[in-house]
Amino acid sequence: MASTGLSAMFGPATFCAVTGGSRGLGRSIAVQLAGRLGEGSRLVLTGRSLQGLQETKRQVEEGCPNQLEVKLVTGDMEDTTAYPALFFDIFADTQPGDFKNALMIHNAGTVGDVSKRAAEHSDPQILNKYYATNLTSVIALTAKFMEVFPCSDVRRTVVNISSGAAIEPLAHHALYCSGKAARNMFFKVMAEEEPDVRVLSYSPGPLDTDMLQTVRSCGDKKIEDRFNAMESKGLILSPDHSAKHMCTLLDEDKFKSGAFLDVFDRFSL
Amino acid sequence: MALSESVQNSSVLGKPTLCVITGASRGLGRSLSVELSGRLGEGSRLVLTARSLSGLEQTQALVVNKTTSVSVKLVCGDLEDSDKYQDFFRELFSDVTPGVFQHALLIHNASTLGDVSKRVVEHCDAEVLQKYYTVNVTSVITLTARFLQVFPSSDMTRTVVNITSSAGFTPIKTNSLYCSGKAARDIVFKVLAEESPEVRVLSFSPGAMDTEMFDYYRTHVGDPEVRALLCQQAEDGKLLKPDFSAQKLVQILVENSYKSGAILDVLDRFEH
Repeated sequence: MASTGLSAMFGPATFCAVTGGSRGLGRSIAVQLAGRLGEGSRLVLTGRSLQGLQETKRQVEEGCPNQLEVKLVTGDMEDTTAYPALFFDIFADTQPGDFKNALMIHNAGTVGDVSKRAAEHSDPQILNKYYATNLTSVIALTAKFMEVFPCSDVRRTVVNISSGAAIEPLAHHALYCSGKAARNMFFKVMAEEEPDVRVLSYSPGPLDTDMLQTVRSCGDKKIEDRFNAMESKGLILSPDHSAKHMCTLLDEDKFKSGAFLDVFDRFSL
Repeated sequence: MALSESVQNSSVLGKPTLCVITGASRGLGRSLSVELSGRLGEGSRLVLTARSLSGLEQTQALVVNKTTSVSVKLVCGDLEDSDKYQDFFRELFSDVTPGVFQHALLIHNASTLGDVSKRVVEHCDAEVLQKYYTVNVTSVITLTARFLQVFPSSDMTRTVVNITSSAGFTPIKTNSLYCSGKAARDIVFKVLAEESPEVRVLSFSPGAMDTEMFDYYRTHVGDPEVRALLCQQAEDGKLLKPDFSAQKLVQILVENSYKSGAILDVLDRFEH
């Protein structure tokens, strides 16, 4: 179930890019947004899996009554040498004058090797790749986004899909915590520097996705117990629910730029 | 301030200690090297590393001038070059005979600001970004892992110190790289503290100091408001001497009562 009607914020002519759109939260965000984007909008989805992206596109077109232009771009954010080509594809044929809004959603992310404790992360190449995927790509892509949409004539919004892990140290998650903490701070600085850009870090909560399955099998009993407890209390959300909440936050547009908001309103920093 | 010998020897620093300090060629790293050399017990070894051999040699000269009870080893290397970490880290911990040291102390002091003239929207070069996080985050994690491999035993005390900054939790214009790098490090050390309770883990913010790093910062920072603030700090004499910050850190280590994983400030302005 996608649409609640056109968004007041993103109804007219919105350019929207969502990374990691091939499954999980990225797919849900794409579907939820699609129902809200109006005439003249374009949705660009990136991911590693073309098949996954195509399925997302199918669901978008199924649920979305407004003839939305959907573009798929496959690429791997781990490969920094591929960024110029990848970013070119994402923003190809994009004239800022065609859009009233531009929305960049940094959703793609990985948890890293959750079997390892911090003291076991000895391979710098693995770490370099991790930060390429989860940090460098986000920064470089944001810079590109702002280069394509340099003026406040277009209402620009950047969303950083974050996590409670950005502020809460979690065993076996040194990489994930550090990547999210770095992103949160980075976007806080962006909010300070670019008062005309709406910047939001959003923690979607524990979601019933492939990523959660990876986390739950990390081998740490405390983490296993924690998620089991959450599950029994019904606290593991569907990605659709979380995506809807995010869309509501964007539509209401009341957040302080740079804020870090949580699906459960557990914190707002 | 000299401690009585018995107090000094009973502190964790008074034991024969292998102490590695990164970025030891100048600034806070130099001050820490000198301050610690006066506190480490007989038979300790200071391993000092940095990019500049001449800087390291000057630090060594100051140490040798202060004490003869601590040996000094210099290792030149660039933390940007992650392909060379294996050799680099092997060199840092070479000739460590098991059982000789009762305390192993690793101080992650080396750090860079990145290009502080650039706003967020100008950070478009992925290679530059990757190098930044290699130096300031990846090197720290992997060196810690190596350190704990070399000293795996909880029969001895192992201490890891992360030199950080309030920039880790305070957004500062044109400092997106520095702020994000410190935020990343700070939480990694909290995770380490939680996972490895037998390791003493401390993040220490030394404050704005009268060093080359601050000078570079003040003269290159892109945001005019930030620049004005920094210049004012310098003019008002508010910059701390790196020796002062070093002494405060050493005092905290000597007292050894900090909660592992804590982020402490030189002037006790915050504790996270």
